[in-house]
Amino acid sequence: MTKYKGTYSASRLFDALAKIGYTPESAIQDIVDNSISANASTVQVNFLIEKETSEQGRSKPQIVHISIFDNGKGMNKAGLENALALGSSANEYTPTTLSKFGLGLKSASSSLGRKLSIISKAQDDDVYLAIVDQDAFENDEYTFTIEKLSGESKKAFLKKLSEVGAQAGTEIIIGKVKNENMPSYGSIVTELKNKTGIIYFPILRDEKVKIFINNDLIPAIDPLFRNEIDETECILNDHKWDGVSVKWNLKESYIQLSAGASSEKAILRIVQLPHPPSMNSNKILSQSNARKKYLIDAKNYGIFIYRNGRLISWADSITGLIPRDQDLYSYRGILELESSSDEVLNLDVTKSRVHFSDLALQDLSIQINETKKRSVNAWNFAKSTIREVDTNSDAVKAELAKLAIELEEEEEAEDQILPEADKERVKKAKNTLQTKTPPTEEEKKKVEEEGKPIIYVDALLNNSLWERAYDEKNGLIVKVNKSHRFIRTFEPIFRKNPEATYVFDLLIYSMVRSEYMMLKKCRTDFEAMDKVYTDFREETGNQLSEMMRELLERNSAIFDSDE
Amino acid sequence: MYCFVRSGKISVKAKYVYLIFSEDPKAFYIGQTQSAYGALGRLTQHMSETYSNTFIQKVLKFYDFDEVNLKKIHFFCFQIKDDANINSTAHLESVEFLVSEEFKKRIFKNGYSISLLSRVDYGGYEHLENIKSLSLTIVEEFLIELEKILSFAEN
Repeated sequence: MTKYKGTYSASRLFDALAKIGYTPESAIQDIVDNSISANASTVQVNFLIEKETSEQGRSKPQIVHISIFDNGKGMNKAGLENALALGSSANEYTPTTLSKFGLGLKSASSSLGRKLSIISKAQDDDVYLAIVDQDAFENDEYTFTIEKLSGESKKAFLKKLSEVGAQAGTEIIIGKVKNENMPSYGSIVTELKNKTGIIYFPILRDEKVKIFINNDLIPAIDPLFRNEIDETECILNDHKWDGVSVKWNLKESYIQLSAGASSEKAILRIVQLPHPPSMNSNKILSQSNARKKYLIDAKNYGIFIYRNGRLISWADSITGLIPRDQDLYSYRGILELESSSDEVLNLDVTKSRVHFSDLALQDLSIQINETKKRSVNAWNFAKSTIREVDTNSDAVKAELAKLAIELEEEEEAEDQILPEADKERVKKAKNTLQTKTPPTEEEKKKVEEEGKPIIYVDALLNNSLWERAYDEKNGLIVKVNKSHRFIRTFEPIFRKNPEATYVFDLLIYSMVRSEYMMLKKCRTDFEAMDKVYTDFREETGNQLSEMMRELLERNSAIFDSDE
Repeated sequence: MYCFVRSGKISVKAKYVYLIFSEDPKAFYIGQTQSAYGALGRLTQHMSETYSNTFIQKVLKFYDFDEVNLKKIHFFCFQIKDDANINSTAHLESVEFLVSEEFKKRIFKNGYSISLLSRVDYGGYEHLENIKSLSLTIVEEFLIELEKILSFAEN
């Protein structure tokens, strides 16, 4: 068997590396990762720009070079050789590293420009300059130069180090910038400034590193705004949320990353961020300021995935478990991974795409399915609280309440014209019905507040969907179990369509009224008949719950409403 | 092959939360049942070749096996008394859910490398105090038994 040495084209290889999938911001951040891995406490990102005038006579800034300077441990000549090798040695990587494949620097810099210069000084060593210039590859082979730096350039670098009190450090300079393939300078810098505080939040929060972009210090921004959560309060109650406070939706859940792998896990946490119109309505912040502060927007809801304290996936939908829905704008979570999980997650070179195992998706879907329902309900509850009087919904409510009173009056009238033999029996039955199941004080108050005889309560015995009660002032009342799976699943639809709520209310009220009337007229064993109705309610509740569970297991999005 | 059953009462129809622990592959499965054949009946289904063998199905799915050849299995079950106010399947599912979450958390915190294969969705009653306290009791009981087995295996 004859062996051959593989050939390659350096220019095509670097073209391919450049197209791995970086955006300008993510490429710069990948290089910043190297600085952090080198134990830098200061990282400075600066852009040198010049004005270019277009054919239409408009001037716009063009990037001449991008510089990323740090006071990390620096590199000697051997270190630079390793750094520029394609697939740097894995021995360089610690368990908590942000780096992974040893291709980051080459691919990130190639995506930005065709020339990479590295100035670096390790402790007690000289200053070196390494250059990779794709336009200078000889015979299409990958080559680079390394030399000791001297003269004014060396002085300038040493001055930079002394300004941050460092004896070692590195400066990466990317030149021959591919402006034609990039967004505008303004949008790159804005995006960098807006996102860096979140991307490196754990590291910045702990003040392990300071990052400057064009001399502006980037503050740590917790995507979950946990410092605003009142830990003494319980988690999000989607029927009581005030719309202005940040609340835990899920405080902590362990997600298994793979079956059989050691103890690989991640921790999932989810919050409910404020509802901007509620902030405005309560005169706390204007809507636009609330959106700006909490970054509430179509691209910013979902799960922020962190690896070793650094964000790798922004607002991930977790393979579509979190759908596009503007009622989820307040829904945000973080998933914290460690680098020991890299293999089970099939992390790619850009370290930004995560592939979850079936077991991880099972654990994630359980939590996400429940918390997103809660989030949507809470968002819509907040919306309905501040909504101006919807005359149509209020009119229907008032009509139902009026109808209930009219039916009571009709019933009174009918009772009075009953034959004498039946009057006593009916009176006794009515008395039992009206005193057997009185509503609580809280429930009575709810009836007054709702303005209709149907109220939604936290729970009912035996998972029943509904129960009847009777109150002297309000008459026959229906209690609906809002913890029942049917209600929990359809609530988002009811909130979006108040008319659907009233169709349901009408159906339930008529069923309870029928129960009441049948029992009142009962000519046989009242207790036995009452028991039959109680059992019927329980059985209906359980059957409905089972059917919903079965349907949702087959297709968890079956009842999701369209945007 | 042999099987050791400590109490015949687990064949009685009642409400149970149970745990199946497999030594190889190292995995556990938490479930609930109100089967006419008790918790033991449900275990039989899990280990059978019928459609109800959910545990086997999960092992095949998550470990990508072509066939399952389980080694030692341990089975614990907790019978829920009538006075515990667990009056519907949804209530029982809520207990099952909380037991799964808490058990997973404790296993990870103790550094055990065991995967939980079962799936249970929220039942809707997780916020009730009796559900929470019952779940914690069940987790404590299961952990006591599991730790006996694990420390025996280590020694």
